[in-house]
Amino acid sequence: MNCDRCGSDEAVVRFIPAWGQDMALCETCLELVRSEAEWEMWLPSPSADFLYGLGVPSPLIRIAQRGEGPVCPECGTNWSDFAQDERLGCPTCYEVFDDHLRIFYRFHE
Amino acid sequence: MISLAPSLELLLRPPRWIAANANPVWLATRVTVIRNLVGSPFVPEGTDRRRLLEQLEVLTDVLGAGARQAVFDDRGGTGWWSERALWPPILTEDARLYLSEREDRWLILGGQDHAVYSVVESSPGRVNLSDRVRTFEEAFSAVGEAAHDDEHGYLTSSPRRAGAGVGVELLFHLPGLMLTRQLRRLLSAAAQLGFWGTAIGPVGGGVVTLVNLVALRRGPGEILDSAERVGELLTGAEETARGALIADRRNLVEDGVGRSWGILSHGTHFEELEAGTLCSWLRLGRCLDLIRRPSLARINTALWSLQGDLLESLAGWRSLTPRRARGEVLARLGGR
Repeated sequence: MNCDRCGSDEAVVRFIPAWGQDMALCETCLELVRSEAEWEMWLPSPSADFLYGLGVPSPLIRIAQRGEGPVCPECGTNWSDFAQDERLGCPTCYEVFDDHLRIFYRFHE
Repeated sequence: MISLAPSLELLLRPPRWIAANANPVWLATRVTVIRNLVGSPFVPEGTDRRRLLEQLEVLTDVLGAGARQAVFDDRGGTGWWSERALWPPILTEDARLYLSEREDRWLILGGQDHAVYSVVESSPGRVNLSDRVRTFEEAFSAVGEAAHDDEHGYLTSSPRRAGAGVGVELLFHLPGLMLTRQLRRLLSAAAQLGFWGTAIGPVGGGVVTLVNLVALRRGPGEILDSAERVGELLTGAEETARGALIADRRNLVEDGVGRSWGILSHGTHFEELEAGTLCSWLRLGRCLDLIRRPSLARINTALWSLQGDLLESLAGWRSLTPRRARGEVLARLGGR
């Protein structure tokens, strides 16, 4: 997957702000974007696992290769599917991807 | 059936909850409830999908008399309606969308979740919103058991909404806080209450949306309580800021309002941010009784209809550039 900022083919994370288009970034651009203070105003202690672009915190989803990570036995969703669109396939996915989804629950703590 | 194909007429006829909105600061509160039935994928296919849609069809009763199914065409796609409703594009191409008569409630069946019900109040409307959420929950439970577990609450296709399975969005017009450079501080305060703010980029000019990002281990009532506190916080601060502007910098405000009206009255090509900012000045001036015209309804319509994606649809359809389409919309609204 290409980085949406510099165009290199080594994007490592994706995030989907509450508004706006989803975006993929390579490690270099991720660090550059992080260093810009624009989003850090929204939270007192920005987390390494979130990006605060557009004023809305969004979990950084590590891009997985197809077939990498667990697969839901009920609906066949795997982690690379989720990394594409941030959508789970069925209720069972919540159990299968429990460890991976904990980053989302940190909003709630 | 109502056609949502893009047209200038539809663009100049926004939903009543935005066009007829007389609230100076707090424009709208929208609650969305997401529910899935147990024992089925969030997006079933084939026969399972048809059976599910038939099963859920009865939920359209919650929209009341006069509810209609919306149809799209290739020119606008579903994105057009998403922008029309000031709503993030969650509507998949083959989902069924039903609108209430006033377009202040809608139901999406067979999208990324089985059923998504939204209701908008063009005022705080706390009691009314709670009642409508409860009505939908009761209707859904009559259809079947909702997917739910003790740890995650209601299970939705996006883990962002697991828990209450409820999203609340607040829409404000906050030019006073922008002009007095207090907006950032106030949005940080709102974040402490679990609501995250972002300017609506295409509109600009101090129109701000806040959305709850916390739904786990909370009920709809708690989220609405927090929304109310955020609304009171921002409304109070905005009113204070407007009062201070009139007391200390009345000339500056009058100049901004008059200048905006002049440019909007005579310009023909507008960039998006410029048009949004000018309309915001006009709205501020109207709310502060600095001008008698245009009407608030007309200004609301202009602010709403200047969104970039709406105009892109219209421009593509009518072979106009978005800048020219924007000018045409403003000309029609200004009676030129």
